[in-house]
Formats: sequence, structure tokens, C-alpha cells
Amino acid sequence: MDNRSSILQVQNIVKRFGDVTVLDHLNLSVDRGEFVTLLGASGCGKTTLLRIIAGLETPDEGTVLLSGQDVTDWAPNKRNVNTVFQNYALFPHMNVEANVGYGLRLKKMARPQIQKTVSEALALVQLPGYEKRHPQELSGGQRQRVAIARAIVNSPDVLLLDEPLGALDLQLRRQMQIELKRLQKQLGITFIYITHDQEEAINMSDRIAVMYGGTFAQTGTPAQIYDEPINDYVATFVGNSNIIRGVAEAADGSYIKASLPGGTLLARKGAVQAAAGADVLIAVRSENIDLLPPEEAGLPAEVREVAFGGGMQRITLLLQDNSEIVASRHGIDSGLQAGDRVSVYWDKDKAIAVQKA
Amino acid sequence: MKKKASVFPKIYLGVILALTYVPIIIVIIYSFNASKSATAWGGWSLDWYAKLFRNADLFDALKNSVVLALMSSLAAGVIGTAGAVGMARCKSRLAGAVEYVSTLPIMIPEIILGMVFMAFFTLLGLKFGMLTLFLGHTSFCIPYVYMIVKARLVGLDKSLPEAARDLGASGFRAFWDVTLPLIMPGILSGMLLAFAMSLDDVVISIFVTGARTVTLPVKIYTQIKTGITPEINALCTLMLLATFVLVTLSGILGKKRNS
Repeated sequence: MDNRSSILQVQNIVKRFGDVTVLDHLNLSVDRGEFVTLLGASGCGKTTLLRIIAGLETPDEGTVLLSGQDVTDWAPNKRNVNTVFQNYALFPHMNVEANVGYGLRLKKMARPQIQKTVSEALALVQLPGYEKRHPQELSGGQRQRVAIARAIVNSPDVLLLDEPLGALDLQLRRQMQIELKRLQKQLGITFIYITHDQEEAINMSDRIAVMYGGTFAQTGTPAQIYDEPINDYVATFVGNSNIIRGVAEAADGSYIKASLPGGTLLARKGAVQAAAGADVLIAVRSENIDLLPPEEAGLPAEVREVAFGGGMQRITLLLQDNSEIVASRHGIDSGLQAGDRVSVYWDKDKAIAVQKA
Repeated sequence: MKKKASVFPKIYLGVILALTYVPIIIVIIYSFNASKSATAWGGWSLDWYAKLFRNADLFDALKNSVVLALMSSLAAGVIGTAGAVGMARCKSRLAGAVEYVSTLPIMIPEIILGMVFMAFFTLLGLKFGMLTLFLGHTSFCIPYVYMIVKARLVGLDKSLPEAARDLGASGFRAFWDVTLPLIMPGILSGMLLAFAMSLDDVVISIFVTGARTVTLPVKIYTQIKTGITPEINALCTLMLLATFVLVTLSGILGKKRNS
């Protein structure tokens, strides 16, 4: 860990609620200006970690360093960190100007200066002239922008965002993703962003930390997480991959030869060092599965169901060991129907061996 | 198939309404009775209201009652709010027990509370009068404020004070700027209810009042022993009106939401 460039360091954080260990010895180092996403299903502990960084929760073990300074026991109001809450948490009894200017008033900034800074912040989030409105009069997307303005107006070292787009509809979400990213670049503020949406994480982040069961399953760039998932959890959560069980036959350079139900196929080795005879899991995305005529080489399978959704045909297949995998095809008609026999095949670069989570 | 409405709920409702409101309506009508008799109707008149406003004793009693109700509802407002806010933060296993104990006085029969207060104040050697009335009334008013404020706090989004802390407010500032304004309708509603409870209390007041200090309900109660005059009817009508206004106000404040 490099102290010079890292603005936030989380070291060996442990948090228990009663008998349940929510965070289990977490380590994370975030660079100045970086956009880091904590990605995970609900209940994986990502919000708890964010609250510990904000100071709203105290860890049972471990330290939080901000700009190299140990702030673990500091009250939230002493940390130069601001949060955009999941439900926005706008003060309902204050208008937009009072909401956004609240932090500045606490800092005893002069009134005209506050007004100027607030209207600049509102212009930044594209809500100019909304000063006198009340939160109740705003739409969900507008409240979201006010919440962001209220946080960035204090120029925090780190901005924490807890599923900020969770309550918005898909179209608005996409638009806000782009705007947030632009805002982050423009202001150069370090973002720690929580989401359970893998697409959002991949679109926006410099780095993604996939959380699973209170630990980081994998930390890396979106490309690393997507192309080189370390275990079956990351592969299924981030890439919607199929996981096929098999036994390693031989390693061949950077590929592994795996004996799978009904045949043998190659896959990238990834981080797995499986010796011959060891159990191995192969992850392959539905769009990377080729369906060949049954007489060709591959894994023999039977079509179970053909369904259409989201511009894709989803073909559920039954392998010889009775496990199900899903292949997808663009367009409406793949020419397949339930009961057809096919041979499952993939390009050796499109599949990867993963560990068991 | 359309379900035929049963006739019994209607009868039930009719009986309940009749039992409650018929006596009240009769009292209101008789307060305008020109005859001195409590039973015979002698035509419409405002004489009893005029007589009522000339009765200095009654007005002294009314003044005592209003001052007492104001002071005890204010004190109960402060203590009950402090209790509710403190308990909302308390994570102790004893919290449930404390909550139960602090709202119990609502269920304890007033006559027992009155006796207990009398015995306790005697033990302390307090002079019976406004002070003992104030202490007694404050005690039985606190649970009303406590319960209403607590309900309001439970409904309050916890991330609001957290957001204030996050933006740089101390714990006290976050409470003062965010929590307090948002629970204020609850506090006012509880205090209004406490005011109404204090204003019409007879039982506890009889036990803890001194010889010289008389509250309005106690005064009415002692006067009735010598016979109901239409003057009392007039007074009851006015107090009913005041109670109605207070309870309605309390309800409006209680319903006002912070969505």
C-alpha cells in the first residue's frame, strides 16, 4: 500500500452485529481522485463499510486512515467525508438552498458566500434556480441531484455514495451514471460508490471491489473483474456466467484441459493452478456458448426451453450430468426448440477456470 | 354475490352514540334554560352565562386550572420529550421495561395515583397547594407526551440526523436543527393532550390540592353536591367547547406529516 497517493485506507476492518460477522478483516486502499465501486448483493456488508468510513458506525477491529491520519474514533462531523444517502435524506423542513447550504452554515461561512456557493453547486448538478423549492416538490431525480449538491458543496476528500441511483427508473439511471462520472472527473473528488448493479459498476468505475460474505472476493479494474473472474461468485455475479463442474486433465501453457460432462474442452487457466485430477470449475458466459450439430465435438446437451427476452433468445440446455446451462443468441429465431440435441462448444479464450468461492 | 349488511353494527353504533352524546346535548340545551329548575323547560335565555361571568369564585378556580394546566403541560412536554428522545437512542435490554414503567401511569386508576401522591407529598412535608398540584399533574401528563413523541421518533427517518452529522453538525446541532423541528408537531400534540387532561382532572386534584387552592373541576364537583344549577350547565358547555377545540388541534398537529 502506497501512503503517498492513497487518500483512504481501510485496514483489517472487522464488524460484528451480535453473533454475525458482517465485515471480516477488510483491506482497501483508495487513491486520490479514484472512482471505486463496492459491488455486491444486498446484505454483503457494503453499506456497513461505507458507514464505517463516514464515521456513522464504529468498527470492532481495524483502522480507517484518511490522508494518512487515523480517524477510526473520530465523530462523523470531524471527517472531511460526505455521504449521498440511499434515500437522499434531504431535510424535509428546509428548502433546497438551506439543504445544500447546511454544511456551509455549520462552517460559519458568510451568508452571501453561501448563496453564491449553493447556486454554483446547483448549476453543477443542473438544477439552477431551484433554491426556494422544498424537497417534497421535487421528483426523485431532482432530489438525487440536490443530495449530490449538498455533499459536494463541502468539497470533501472522499464522497461516499450509497446506491444513489437505486430508486430511479432505468432511463434516468443511465443518464445519471454519465452525469456522475462527468462530475467526478470535473471535481477530481474521490468517489466510493455502492451498487448491486454490475453494469453500473463496470460503466462507471476505475476499480471495482466485489464483496461477498463480508470480504472482498476480488478487487480490480472492470476489465479484470469481467474477463478474469477469480471465483464462481464473481463470474456469476458480474458476468452472469455459467459454471460447469469438471476435472482438470492437463495444463497446456496458459490453458487448462478439463474433462467435463460428456467431453473435454479447453479454457483459460486464470488464477487457478489445478493439478491433473483436481476438481475444476469452468465459467463461460451465455453469449460465448456455441451450439453445434450433435455430431460435432463438444459437450452433448438437450434443449430444455427456448425463451425470448431483452432482444435475446435464452436457450436452457441440459448437460449429461443433469446440470443446466444457458446459452443466448441475438434475434428472435435460433431455429432451436425444446427436445433438440446439440453439441455445446466454446472458443478456448472465451472460458476461464475459476476457484470455488 | 352481494353481502347484506347486518343491522347489529348500526344498533350498536346508535346505542354508543346515544349513551355518550344525549347527556351532553341535554346539558348544552339546559344551559340556555330560562327556568331555575333543572328539569322544567322555561324558554331560551343567556342568563346563566351572564351569571357565570359574574361569579368571581368560579373565575378564580378557572384561573388556577388554566395556570396549572399550562405549567404542567409545559413541564410534561420537556420531560416527556427528553425521555422519548433518550429512550429512542437507548440500546439497553432494560429499554422495554423502562418504557413499560413510564407509560404505566396511564393505566393506573387515578384514585390510586391520587392517594399515592398525597402520601408521598405528606412524607416529603410539602405544603399542599399549587406546588403539589403541579407535581401531581406533571407526573400523570408525562406519559401522554412521551407516547406521542416516541411514536413520531419511530417514524422519523434515522438517516436525517445522520446526514446532519455527516455534513458537520455536532450531535446536539443535529438534534436541534433536524430532529427537534421534525418531532415538534408530536411534542405540541402531546402537550395539548396533556393540557386537556390537566384541565379537567378531578380525582388526583382532590387528593393533592390544599384548602385554599381550588381548580375548576374540583369547584364544579363540590358545587354539584349542593344541587345542579343551570349555571353549572353553562360552565360545562363552555368547557366542552374548549376541550373540543384542544382535542381537534391536537389531532390536526398529530396528523401533520413530514413527507
